[in-house]
Amino acid sequence: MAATKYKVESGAQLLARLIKKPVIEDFYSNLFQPGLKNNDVVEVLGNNSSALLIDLINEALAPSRSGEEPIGVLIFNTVGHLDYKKLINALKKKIASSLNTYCDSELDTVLHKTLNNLFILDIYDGTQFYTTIHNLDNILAHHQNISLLIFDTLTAFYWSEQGLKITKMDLYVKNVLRMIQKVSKEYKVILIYTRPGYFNSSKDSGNIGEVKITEGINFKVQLVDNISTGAYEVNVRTIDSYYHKKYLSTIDNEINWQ
Amino acid sequence: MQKLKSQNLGNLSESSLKTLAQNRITTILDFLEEDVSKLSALTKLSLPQILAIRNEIFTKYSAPLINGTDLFTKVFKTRSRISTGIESLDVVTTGGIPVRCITEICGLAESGKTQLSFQLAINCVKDEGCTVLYVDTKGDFSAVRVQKMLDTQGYSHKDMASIMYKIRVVHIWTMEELVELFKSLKNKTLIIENLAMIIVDSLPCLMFQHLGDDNKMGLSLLNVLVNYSRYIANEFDVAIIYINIQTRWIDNDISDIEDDGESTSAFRESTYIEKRNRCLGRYWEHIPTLVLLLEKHEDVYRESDSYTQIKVSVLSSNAVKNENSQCILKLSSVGIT
Amino acid sequence: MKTFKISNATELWQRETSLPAVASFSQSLDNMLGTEGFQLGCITELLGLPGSGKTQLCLQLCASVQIPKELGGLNAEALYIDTNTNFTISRFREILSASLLKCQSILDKPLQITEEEALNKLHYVNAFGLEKFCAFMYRLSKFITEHPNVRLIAIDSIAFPFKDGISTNQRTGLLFRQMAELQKIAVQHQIAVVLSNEMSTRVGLQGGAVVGSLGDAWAHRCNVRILLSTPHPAQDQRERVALLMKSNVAATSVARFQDQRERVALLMKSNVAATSVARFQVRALS
Repeated sequence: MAATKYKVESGAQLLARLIKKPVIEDFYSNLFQPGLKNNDVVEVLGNNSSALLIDLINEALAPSRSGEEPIGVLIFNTVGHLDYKKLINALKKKIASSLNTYCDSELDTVLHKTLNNLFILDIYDGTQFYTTIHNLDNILAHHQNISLLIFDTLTAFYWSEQGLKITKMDLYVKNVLRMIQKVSKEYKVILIYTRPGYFNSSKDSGNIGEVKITEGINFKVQLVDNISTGAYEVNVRTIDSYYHKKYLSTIDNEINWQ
Repeated sequence: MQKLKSQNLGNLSESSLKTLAQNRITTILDFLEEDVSKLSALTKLSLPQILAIRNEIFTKYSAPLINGTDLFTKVFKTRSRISTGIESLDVVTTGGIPVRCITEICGLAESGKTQLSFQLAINCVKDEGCTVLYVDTKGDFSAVRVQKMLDTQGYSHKDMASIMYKIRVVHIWTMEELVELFKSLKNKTLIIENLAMIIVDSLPCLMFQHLGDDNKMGLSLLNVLVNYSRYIANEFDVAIIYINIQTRWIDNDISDIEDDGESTSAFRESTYIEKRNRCLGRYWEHIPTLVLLLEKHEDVYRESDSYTQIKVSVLSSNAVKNENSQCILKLSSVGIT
Repeated sequence: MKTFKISNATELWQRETSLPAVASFSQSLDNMLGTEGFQLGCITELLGLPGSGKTQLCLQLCASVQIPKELGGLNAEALYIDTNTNFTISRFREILSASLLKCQSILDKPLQITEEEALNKLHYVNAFGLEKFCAFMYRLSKFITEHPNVRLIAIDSIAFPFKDGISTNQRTGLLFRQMAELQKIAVQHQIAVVLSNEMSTRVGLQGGAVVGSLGDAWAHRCNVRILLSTPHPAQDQRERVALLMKSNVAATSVARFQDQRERVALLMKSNVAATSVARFQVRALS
């Protein structure tokens, strides 16, 4: 990081920065042990991460545990795999069960209020990708309630940027992460990004249990492709542990952790 | 990545651009990454002016922020699927071809992919009243066949004409051309009124032209194509279908040799396992949201009515695998039902 | 900025039906194809073991393309790209004479064309070896511009130049680039293209071990695929079967036929016909 980087910000931005961000601790402990906290970085490796992402997002927007404050979510959508209809339907169900009401109009009001904490950026090319990352500063300054940043995926524009010289995939991920964290760290957001199964430079990334976790990443979650219906396995690697989790997926793609 | 030069950015004069270029700042990203005071020193512009240029870049290139409530409106007020017009297929695809997504139709040679695309195009036009763009990369489009299908289904000449008018065909011979076409659609330099579906028959025909080259030009073009496709699909509410092919390879599986340390010439039996591969590589593999796998099932020869049965399996990137993901379609002179 | 020509299906229908297909002189074969012959703008692949009559059919088409307009023909020229030296001028002469005589007998009047002139309507290119083949394919566009009356291009065979000295990936890349150019020319100039392919063995495949060479990726490329049978030594030498394996207009079907030089064509693939079989006769005066 350039030591002499001159940061100019408006008065509003300065104030916004100085206001204390909500402290997040123990988020989504169904999967993460311990649960996620501010500034955690999570890599989700695998091909069918939509169900997990939707569950994470909905948990942030409408926390299961009573008394918990919702977390604002910002999604960088680079591949169009998130089914928004499924997301909203699952969210509605979640709210309904926690409110113990199925009265439509009441549900709708709460739903809309909850959705106000969700923000989406549809990214269609590399230029837009990087420019928007640089603009994150402004975005996060104006929406202080955002504490969860999701990139699905981080690698969507890789090939379009390769010319005569090819950047190694792992290095590419590193560079993009660095760019994002220049901003995200300041706003104390949780960063989750997905990465397709094949996107690796080395061959031994097959089993994350054997490889030491990359510096700067707190959790590496590997989704295991499975053939049987409904049951999914997840491997999780942290700096000092490696464990497995399993979940069942219902017909509506809802997750039930085992 | 956009170059700085081509943008008419505020106060950046030609000479400023030159100075920046000499300092290896040529793209927008370079400009954004660079320290603002250094930029100010190089271009002799004031700090607020540099910041203004930064903001100009953000306005022009940064993605607009969409709020969840607006999302709700978009998702529930516009249709999310286009009926295939074939009942059994609609059932296994939970409503039809997804709009705002990329769908793939895949299969071995002669499995009926092109015939299915003809039928989907016809059904989309006649049922939804929309326009379909058929991108033909291999000369497979046959207006004569389409007309015969409509004729056999009993349409009047007038109706046939109006349906055929809405099926637009363009011949594309290289990846570069296809990328150009989609770019024109995105930029609206090429406008097709009421466009609801684009069918590209076929993508390997273009991508295979890049095999054997050492550089990754093919993949780069494919990525750019996918980017444009997503934009067109999402922003214009279009369903995009790509035809892909399957190839076969044989795995020579040698079953276990009896390991009792005895004779070296243990009984080996080679079993051949035929494996099928969806072409276009690992990057493409997870791009489509929906994949329809076609397989020729059985030919039925009858005096009055001969047809071929085609099995369709549904692979979806998001959905849970369930039992109800296959169906059998009928390919005959009338088309696919 | 490039402009794209976008046509609607009706315009294409008018274009497709504006000119007749190239007839093969065998009614059952032409019927099987669904387009009454070898369609302009399409690439038709002929498969078959040696001796099944691929070269003969190519030569026949080169003669058929000359059929006068009064008989519903194209009155055009043909380009024969020879890569496997199966072409013999004497055989072509035979077929050409027979065709011209047949036309004459139907018209019931002498033809205005001499044998010399008819022979000149066949442009023969020696393309032995990969290098020569590629060199000509590269010039093809220019050739066609210089010979605007060509309505048939025959390549016998497409597999031969690629037999050795090239990796599978390079072969596929090169082939597909060449086919893109070829199809573009065929569509823009309304030319029928016929390619002959050889058979090879791939042990372990479900559908049978004998398949067309050049691989699975290639199998998708052509619009129409016809499998020609070889006479079985034990059977009646005149009994043949052809299968339409692929067609974009016709259904897969089989044609059975019987005659001295009858060949049976199997329509394996077509964008207009279902896979089917046609019995067809190729008459030639000996």
